[in-house]
Amino acid sequence: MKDAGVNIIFQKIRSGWIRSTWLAWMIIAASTGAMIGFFAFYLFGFSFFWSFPVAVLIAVLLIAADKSWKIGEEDVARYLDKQFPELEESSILLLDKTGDLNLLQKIQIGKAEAKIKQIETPAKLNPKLKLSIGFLAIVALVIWVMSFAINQSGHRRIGETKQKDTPGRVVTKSFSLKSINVWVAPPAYTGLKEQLQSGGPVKALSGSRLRWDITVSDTVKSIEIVINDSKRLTVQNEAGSESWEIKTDMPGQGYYQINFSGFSSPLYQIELITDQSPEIKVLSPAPDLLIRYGDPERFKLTAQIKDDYGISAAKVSATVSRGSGEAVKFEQKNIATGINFVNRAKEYQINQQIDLKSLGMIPGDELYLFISAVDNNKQEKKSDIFRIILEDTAQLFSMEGLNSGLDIKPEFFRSQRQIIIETEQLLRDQPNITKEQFQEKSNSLGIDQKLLRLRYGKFLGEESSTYEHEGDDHDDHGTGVPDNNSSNILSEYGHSHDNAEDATYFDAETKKQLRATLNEMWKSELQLRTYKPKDALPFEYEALRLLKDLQQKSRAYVAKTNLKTTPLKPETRLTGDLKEILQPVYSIVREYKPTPEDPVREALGMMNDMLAGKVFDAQDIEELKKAHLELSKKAMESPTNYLSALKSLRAILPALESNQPVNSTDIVNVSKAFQLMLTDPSPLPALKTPTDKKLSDIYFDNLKKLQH
Amino acid sequence: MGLTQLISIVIILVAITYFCWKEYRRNNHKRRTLRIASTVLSFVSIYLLLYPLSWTGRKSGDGSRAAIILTEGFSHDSLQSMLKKNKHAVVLDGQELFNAPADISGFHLLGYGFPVGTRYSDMPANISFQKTQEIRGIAAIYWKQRLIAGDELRVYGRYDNPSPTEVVLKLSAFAMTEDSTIIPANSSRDFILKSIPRFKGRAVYELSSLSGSDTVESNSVPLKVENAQRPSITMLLSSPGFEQRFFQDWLLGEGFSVISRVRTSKDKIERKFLNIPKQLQQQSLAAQLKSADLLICDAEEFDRLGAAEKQSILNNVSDNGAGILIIADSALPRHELFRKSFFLSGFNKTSNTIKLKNGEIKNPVPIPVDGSMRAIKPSENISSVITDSAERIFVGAVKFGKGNIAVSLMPSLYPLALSGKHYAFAELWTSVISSLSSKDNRRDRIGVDTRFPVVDEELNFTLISVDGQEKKLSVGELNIALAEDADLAGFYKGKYWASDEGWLDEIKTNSDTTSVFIYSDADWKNIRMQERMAYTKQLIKNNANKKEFVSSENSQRKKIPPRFLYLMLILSTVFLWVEKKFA
Repeated sequence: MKDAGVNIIFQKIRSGWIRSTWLAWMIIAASTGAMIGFFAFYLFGFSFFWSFPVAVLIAVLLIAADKSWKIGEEDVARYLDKQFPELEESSILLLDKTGDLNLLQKIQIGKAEAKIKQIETPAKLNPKLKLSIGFLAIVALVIWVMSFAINQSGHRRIGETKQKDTPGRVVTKSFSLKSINVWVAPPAYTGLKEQLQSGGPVKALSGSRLRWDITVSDTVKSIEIVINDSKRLTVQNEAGSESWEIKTDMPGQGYYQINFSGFSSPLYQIELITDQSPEIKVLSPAPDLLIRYGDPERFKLTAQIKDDYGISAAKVSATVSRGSGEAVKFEQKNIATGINFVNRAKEYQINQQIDLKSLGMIPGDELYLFISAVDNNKQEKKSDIFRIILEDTAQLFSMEGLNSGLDIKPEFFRSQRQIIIETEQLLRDQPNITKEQFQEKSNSLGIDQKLLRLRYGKFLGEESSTYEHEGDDHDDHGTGVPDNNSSNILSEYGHSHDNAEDATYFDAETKKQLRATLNEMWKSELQLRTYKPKDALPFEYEALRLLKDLQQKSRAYVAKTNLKTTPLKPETRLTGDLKEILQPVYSIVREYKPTPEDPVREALGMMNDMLAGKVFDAQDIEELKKAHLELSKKAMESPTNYLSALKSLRAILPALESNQPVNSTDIVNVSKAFQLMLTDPSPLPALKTPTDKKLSDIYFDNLKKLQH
Repeated sequence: MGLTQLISIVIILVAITYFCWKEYRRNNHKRRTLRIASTVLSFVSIYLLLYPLSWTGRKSGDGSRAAIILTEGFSHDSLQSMLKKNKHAVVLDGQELFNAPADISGFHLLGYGFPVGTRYSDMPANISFQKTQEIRGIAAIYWKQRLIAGDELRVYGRYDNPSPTEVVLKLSAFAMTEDSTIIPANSSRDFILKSIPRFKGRAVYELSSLSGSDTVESNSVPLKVENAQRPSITMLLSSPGFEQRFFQDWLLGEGFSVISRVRTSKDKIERKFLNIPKQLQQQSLAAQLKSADLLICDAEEFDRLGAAEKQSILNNVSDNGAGILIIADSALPRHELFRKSFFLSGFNKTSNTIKLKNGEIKNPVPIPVDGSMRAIKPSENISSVITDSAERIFVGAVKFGKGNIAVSLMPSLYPLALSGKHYAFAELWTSVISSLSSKDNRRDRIGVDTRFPVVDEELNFTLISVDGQEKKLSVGELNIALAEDADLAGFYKGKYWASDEGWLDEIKTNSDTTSVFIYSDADWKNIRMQERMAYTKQLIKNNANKKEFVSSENSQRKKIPPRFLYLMLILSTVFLWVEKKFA
């Protein structure tokens, strides 16, 4: 019968065997789990954490399948017999519990017992354990080789965003944009067809419909367009696709970016074209047209109307004004343009002869006229208002208004009017008087006209009577002889103080009109002196009209305002008693608010350090982000100037956050944009800092110490 | 003496003491003195072999060889011509000056000379500094490295252009040109380049000179722009006015702290506290005056102040560096300080435009001048803050202790603000306030004495200790050894050798931190080499003066020949061995 020591040895070997078998299965399971996790991580984007439960499951399955707990003492005996020949295949005898053994067996048991106590177990490693370690080494090698290969190829794992990317991380899949085509459908009113714009930047009319046709390098499940960092257009397809179509209305000026599966495209510009309003150019009549007594009562209306996409309608609106004061009446008239706008052409020309009589206008009436045009986009534009005045000679004789105290020239008006009356009388009397009488009378009227002119001349400080040259038309200067007079040159370019004309009470506009009046008088005088009173009459009327106009201009109305004064207290007046007046105390606190430019200034101050490769802390990066916000706003307003810099700043920020080197071209781009954005700071008083102070202060301190 | 040498001396002395003591304690007293002497001699010879002893003495023999010392910037033509004249001359690097052969009769220094700050305690006296090639390009330069936001950067300089083509000087920042000027061919011109920095923090501008499309030189212009530390202002006025109103509105808008007391009538004072905490509002006038960085006061109101209040103000100026600006319409305050320092004079001539102390104003402002206007008479004590184009002083200041007292006869500036010229209004008042207000906040201050520090060259720091206590100055983790000035207590100097170009940060003491820009070797080379030449000339001159007892023509460096030392060592040790063996 074997002793207790042999039993313990058997138990020990058995448990060791089971343990090593389990360990082998667990190593195999862990290796398999790691392998599965590795591929699942990079091929399908699963977390690496999943490899752990997978390994546990495999281990349980393997152990369960192997049933190693069933290893018995007989198995141990067989193992010992096989491993240790010195036992002479007798280990099994040690397990005999019946005791029914022959002598030889008993002797053999004795020998085996002695030898079994001497052996060291396990003599050899469990073969399964060997196998598992080998398997583990192979798996480790495969993972290492694969990760190295993936790293070299620079592939990116599915779903992994750029921000989450860490250095040295293994990636398996990369994405890129194959093509971006933007179909721009302009609004219907333009009549333009859908246009294709390739490459990314979009230039479209307000109200256009945009359709992006995007092709990516691999299948993705969703794609997103972010416009101006605010509006997001997301399209999803569970089945995944390489080609995508996204539609939207033209969002306005700015930029956009395409994002999918962690890939972010560069920023692309969106340029907004605005539809221009119609342009109306009136060639005739002049803004203020006076149709004088005797002139044909009609005028020509000539105008050009243009628009960038087409004119849908245009009309000429006219208002006839009649009467004066409270009796003014207005009457709306429509004047046909005579144009058919069915074609909706981009340019039309209006050529209309307008007869004032057909509009029912009588002398004294005024016609206010403007042209309005509507383009295909229903944008309306109106021209300036033009005034056509039909002269009323009867009004010139009116005494109305002469009673006004503000009228400073009444006597002259009567004189001019008297000259007209007498000229008309002379014309009526002409058949009844002799030629000499006619000429004498005409000449005396000319003299009256001259006297009148000279009296008006005094208002302008004039002594001479050569007004003809001071009219609006300066062509009379052309004598062919160069004017070398230095005083003329001085008067042309210099500034003279002792000009008699300026020494009057009239403003420049009044003086100008007065001078025009004198011109008319001069012309009238000329005709009268040359015995042509009929020809003088229009000039006399013009002079009177201008004077009448001057009279109207000299009037101004200022409304009377109410004034309520505080009642005075005579008893306290001039006593200097201020007892009841409190000592005024004001306390105002106004905190200095940082301007939007402040973070940009701070960020600009970091650019040189960035170029030198300085590592920035979180606070600095926060400042840069604030500056990024300001740059984004600028890029929205003016993508042409700032979009490139915004792209660069967006490349800089993640690089700084992950302590990666920053591209120097990006830094220069951003620096330039910041410089452009910023204005010169205003000067501000500053306290001198101690480092500004030099040796003199130390000297002073030491001197003071010596004094004490 | 280095640390190694010191350790060697200590070891040798210990050894001598120990072995001499052993020889002395030996029972055999024969030849004891000789044994002790041999012991001493053997150790001394070991020491002298390690650290050879040299001295300057009279030239012995017929030392007819000359040595040519080459330093940075030497020209090969000069070297060749020197070698033709001195056929047996030895050519040495600048560093080898002290290892020159003993039989050298004289030294010829070629190149720009020794780096500024180099100390040669035992330099040969017979050095001649040969004229090096002419330096062309930027010959002088100055700009203020620390600016307050809103200040204009002005780079002043001089350019020598002996070439037949004109040179364009360009100041650029962030890859954009800020200002430029043209130096005509064959001329030497002063120049000023200007720019208002738009950044806050620090940046490196570039000043380059271009001849056609070639860049002749390119230099770094490092710059720090700091936020304005706003002074607190107290105003005491005898009557209200528009100037005061516009001035206060501007200060309030910019976040300044202002206390204003304006006499509106008899015994009636309007008090205004702009951005002032409640506690300070309750304080007495004397306390408020003490805390002001600048007091603006008219002559009448200053005269009304009590003696104690006046003294408090003047103490604040002299001890803390505050300023007083007296608005003097026609008369100065009665206080003798003003009467003795300022004298007013009238004038009738029409004035042109206002000028600032530090140059022309950005937007010229015409001054309406009438016959009653007065100006401050110039004197050597008065520094002008605002003048007109005829150099008449409208705001002038005198130093009083650490601060300034100033008088203003400036015409009202509020019409500028009224007419929309806010920048000119701000610029003029900024100039006045910034010139007068300062505060000594009792902090240690770090200064940098080296103008253009470069890598591996000496960078000198100064440290002014306010309390006179011994201080520590460190650059990063490294402590700088500081030496206190022999004459000026609390004034320390230290040296540092930078290893990298760019901004050197974390230069700090207990209460002050600063940074220094380390230039590249190509930066401001002309200027640095000029400074180097001047330094070397001075160094040689000083050295010659020190050693005038030795004729420069007949002196040379002498050393004990090593063979004597070896012989002495062998003899003494052999004697000791024989004596021990056979005695």
